[in-house]
Amino acid sequence: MGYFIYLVTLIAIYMMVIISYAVPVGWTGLLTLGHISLLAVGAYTAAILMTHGGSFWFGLLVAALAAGGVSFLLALTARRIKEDYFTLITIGFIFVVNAIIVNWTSVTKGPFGITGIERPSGFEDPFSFMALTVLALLITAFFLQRVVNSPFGRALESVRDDDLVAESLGKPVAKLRIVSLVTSGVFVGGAGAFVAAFLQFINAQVFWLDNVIFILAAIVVGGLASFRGAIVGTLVLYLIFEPLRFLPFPPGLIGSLRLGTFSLLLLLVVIFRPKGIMGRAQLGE
Amino acid sequence: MILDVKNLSKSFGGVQAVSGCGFNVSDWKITALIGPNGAGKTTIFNLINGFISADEGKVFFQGRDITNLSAWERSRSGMSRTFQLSRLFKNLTLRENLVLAIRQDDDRFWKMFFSKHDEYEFDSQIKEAMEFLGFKKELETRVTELSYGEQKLFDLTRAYLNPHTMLLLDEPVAGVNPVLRESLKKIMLKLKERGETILLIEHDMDFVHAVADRVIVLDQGSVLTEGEPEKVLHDNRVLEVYLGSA
Amino acid sequence: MPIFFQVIANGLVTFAIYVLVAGGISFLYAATRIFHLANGVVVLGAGYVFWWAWVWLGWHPAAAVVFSLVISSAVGLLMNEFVYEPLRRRGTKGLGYLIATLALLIFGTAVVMALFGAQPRTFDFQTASLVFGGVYMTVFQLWALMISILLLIVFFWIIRFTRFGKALRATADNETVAEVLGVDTKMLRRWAFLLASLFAAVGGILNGLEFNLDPNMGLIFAVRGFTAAVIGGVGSFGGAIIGSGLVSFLEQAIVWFFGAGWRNAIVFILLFLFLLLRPGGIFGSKN
Repeated sequence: MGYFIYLVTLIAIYMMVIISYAVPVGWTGLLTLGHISLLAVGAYTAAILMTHGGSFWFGLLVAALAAGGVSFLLALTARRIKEDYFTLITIGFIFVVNAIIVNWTSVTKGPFGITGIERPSGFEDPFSFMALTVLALLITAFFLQRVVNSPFGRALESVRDDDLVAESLGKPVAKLRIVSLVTSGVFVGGAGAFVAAFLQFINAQVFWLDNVIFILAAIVVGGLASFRGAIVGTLVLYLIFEPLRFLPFPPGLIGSLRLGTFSLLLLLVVIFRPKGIMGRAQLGE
Repeated sequence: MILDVKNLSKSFGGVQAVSGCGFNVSDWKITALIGPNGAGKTTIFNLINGFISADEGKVFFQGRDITNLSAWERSRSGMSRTFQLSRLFKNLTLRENLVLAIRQDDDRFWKMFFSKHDEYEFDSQIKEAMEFLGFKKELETRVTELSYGEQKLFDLTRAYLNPHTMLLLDEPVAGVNPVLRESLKKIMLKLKERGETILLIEHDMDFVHAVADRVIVLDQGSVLTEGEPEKVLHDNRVLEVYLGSA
Repeated sequence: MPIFFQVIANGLVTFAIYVLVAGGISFLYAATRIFHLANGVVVLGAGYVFWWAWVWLGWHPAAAVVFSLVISSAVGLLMNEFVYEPLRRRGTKGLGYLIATLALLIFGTAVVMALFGAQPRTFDFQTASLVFGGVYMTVFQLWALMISILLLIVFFWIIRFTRFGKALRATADNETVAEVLGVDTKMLRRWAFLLASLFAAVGGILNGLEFNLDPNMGLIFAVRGFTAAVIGGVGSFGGAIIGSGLVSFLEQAIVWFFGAGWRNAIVFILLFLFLLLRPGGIFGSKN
């Protein structure tokens, strides 16, 4: 039972991240790889505040704002840069954030990470924390669903499908891209606070390559511009590997197995079924 | 005079695409921009609607200097254009494509978040436009299913539905079958009757002769001559640039 | 001042490797419009295959080198044939290729990790140290530099004076026109991938010998490679060299003054500034 609660909470957090991630990638056509770093920004902000006397709620708020702010800066670069170059910049962004986490030891405690993060009072036991997380997920889903189903969502899609035509129809493309990234960033930042409270410990490893590929594969395999696709993608990819926990695999091998499977699936989908399982759109064509 | 282009120049790399180009477009008339390939016609269009910025010169639209406005701002100020090769929002339906053209408030995040939306609220407006332009297709269709000719008509419909005071049409009859071509001639004249102002680029001289009130001839990036179609199309200089000097 | 020269000397092998990797990415982009980040897999794999053949199987080093080059070129060609060409046939543009190349890069890294383990390995390899007016270098570093320069001269000669080179330049300029003029662009792409993979493989072997073999190197080289290519001006041959020079020099300077931790970050800030202010790079061709 304890395991089940743990699993649900973890998947709920992943889904918060992935649903938010789906908006700039699937709806706006911005292939950013920096979302895990935004998650890190949120998680570290929350962790630092919480280990210095702040409440979880305060940490959550500031984490969301901080991640939103950083996304804003990242989005500003999307303004004058071609799409492929934007993706490359987001790759650079991952490295920059990672370097800051690892080197700014006075604040982030470097590679050792921050420990002793407490759960919000009243939600210390696993079950209530899980409930809180699921609630947060529902709020995220509800909010973002409303955004993408509104004409604003359609405007985002026009930017994805043909940004020049969108401009010629009066859509402020730069602004739409920025809003898409910032909105997504705010929710990912919030999810970061949940990561910090859930694991009760964070370090740079949590926010590295494994997860970068995982979230990208989840939305591409599940299908772009579809929240259902994102959810299905997350579940499928996550649950393939869960059973392996119980088998005596050497831990190093599991890591590369996951990495290999996710990237292979990503590759196969891009080549053979670009819309994924139930996507409404495909990128780059 | 709804559009006034003054002394525009633009070069790419070492190539001077447009040089000291100036002309104006009168309200409620159809003006055609013609010239041999490479004369700079599409570049001028792109300079007018803001896709590229000029090295020199100014563009005045409805009396305002719009030279420093971005493309979307120019569109909002009243320009609407079509493209040589129709560009569509491929992952969306016909209806969604057209609603995007109509709506000018869908970039307002909170407004769109809090208000109620009806997918079908613009249907009557859309159907009227499609009827007028002779574009017949189910609104649920995905745009990828349209034939070439349908795409051209669709592009026109979309530009028409986009709130505008001037239409910029880039080769509206390029590559279309003769039946559609005749249809489009009539459509241009109907549009004019409705009070539309049109600036179009075309290679089809028969079409230009049939619909244009005024013709501007471009050669090597600047205006060679302009005037009524009858006069211009028989002008020796114009014939020469098209046939090439021996 | 001697510090300045030592820093440069330290960076020479890295410079040599970056040029080989960045040059490959740069000219591949010019010829195919694909940002072949997965070239990093070739860099990575070549070093490991060389190690396997030489140290594990006990072959003669020259045989090991040849073996590694053959496998690496094969990998590069297979990536083109089975991933990029199908995408091209479907009419994919920029972003589609990017996802594919990233997936290939990560997949390659995962395979290497699974086969060889995640811990870095080193070669038991030392060469004599030399001193030039206060600056220390090893014999190997000099060799590495000479090999790179030689390869670059060969490459330059190919681009300038052979039919292939002309076809490459024509395609880079305008693919449609090149095809009309009779260039078999598909074959051209194959040769381009072969060449780029060979260069990357040499880079990988040099890197393995000078530093170590680390599964993360694939990603790191891909990323540094594209940084150098973009800074220098993608598609520009000279640009790849200058870009690599700048990146490797800057990196060594940072490592010297600030320590290794910040090396990747600073280079990216540079990339960021370039893309914002001068997207064409230093010798940018078209943008």
